[in-house]
Amino acid sequence: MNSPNQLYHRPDFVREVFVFLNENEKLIGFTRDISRQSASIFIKLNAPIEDKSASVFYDYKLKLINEVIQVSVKPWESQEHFPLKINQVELSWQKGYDIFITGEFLPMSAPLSKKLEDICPSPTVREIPFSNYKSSKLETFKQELSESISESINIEVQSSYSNVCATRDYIASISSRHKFTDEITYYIKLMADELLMNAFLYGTPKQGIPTTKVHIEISRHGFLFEISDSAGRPFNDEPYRKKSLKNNSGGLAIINAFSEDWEVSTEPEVSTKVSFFMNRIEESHEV
Amino acid sequence: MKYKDISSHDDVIEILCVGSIENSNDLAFLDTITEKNKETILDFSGVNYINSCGFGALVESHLLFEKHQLKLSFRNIESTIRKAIGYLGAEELLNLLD
Repeated sequence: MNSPNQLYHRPDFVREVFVFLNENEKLIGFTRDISRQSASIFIKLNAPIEDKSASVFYDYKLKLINEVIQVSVKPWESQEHFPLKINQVELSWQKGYDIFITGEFLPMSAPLSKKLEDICPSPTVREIPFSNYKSSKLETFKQELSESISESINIEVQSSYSNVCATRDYIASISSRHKFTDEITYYIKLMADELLMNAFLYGTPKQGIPTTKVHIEISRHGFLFEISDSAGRPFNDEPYRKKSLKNNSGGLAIINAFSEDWEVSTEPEVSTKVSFFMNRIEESHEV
Repeated sequence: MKYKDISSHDDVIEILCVGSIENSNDLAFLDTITEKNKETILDFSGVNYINSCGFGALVESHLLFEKHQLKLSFRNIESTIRKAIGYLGAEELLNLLD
């Protein structure tokens, strides 16, 4: 048997969770993302949109979730319910009647907190003090941009799952319009998707509406992409900068693999900005 | 993602997949395949996009099948997606038929 790829083979990667809305309502969901601070959950309904009776039923479910201020999340391997403050609930139209929930865990008792730590034993990068890596390659690229004719595009959207999909598709269309190859366009879309999703999942401010800002510059040299969330949580990008993807983990490894270079800067409690660039001429990606 | 044209013949179940693969739910239909001694082939000729969660879903499905002593293979993967799978180091793990 081949060795499983370390990038994705994490025993805690997908968890089945029960979302308890109240004493009588229980929904089964899946999460790829559960840390000591937050969780995002897909509730799999998979109803055909054409089915009107199903539509009425699932609209009722969605309304029910929207009306509930608190939910308890119970990972399948746990006996405990962890209280979650809902940040966002979305009906994922792209996938039929799936419900997508993201939220932060409410303060809990020390014993309960310890049990959550047992479920999430390894500290996530979000819990490590941040390190702001400065890319000299990126600086050079920006300098080249400033010296050539380029187009700048600014996008600001409310952070939501549906906006992740719409925005990344729009960004891919910009890349195609500027005659980047299909391969580079695919990588730009893949990386934009990852960073938009990260901004959505981890970029919720303590107060106010979560927004994601994207700045793009395109020239004959290449494609610059910058994304800022509205939270500014401490973040350490160092674990993702390992040369080999096989020894790396997490979606940011994709940015490390496919971009020419990238950097992160955090202004605590304000915003976290991630920047990457792609040269117009395709270069080999060393993994 | 949608799946259609499921055909079962001899020792093979072949499923034509269409659209994008963006989370583990997209391949959740594979949970219903329990027939031993058959190879399941996902034909990706209609799949135009796979993101990082989707790549994860491919690997998870492969591992799940392996755990249950079932065989899962993929064919007709679009060339750029195929290259990305290679860069991610998953090519040696997944059963890619072409």
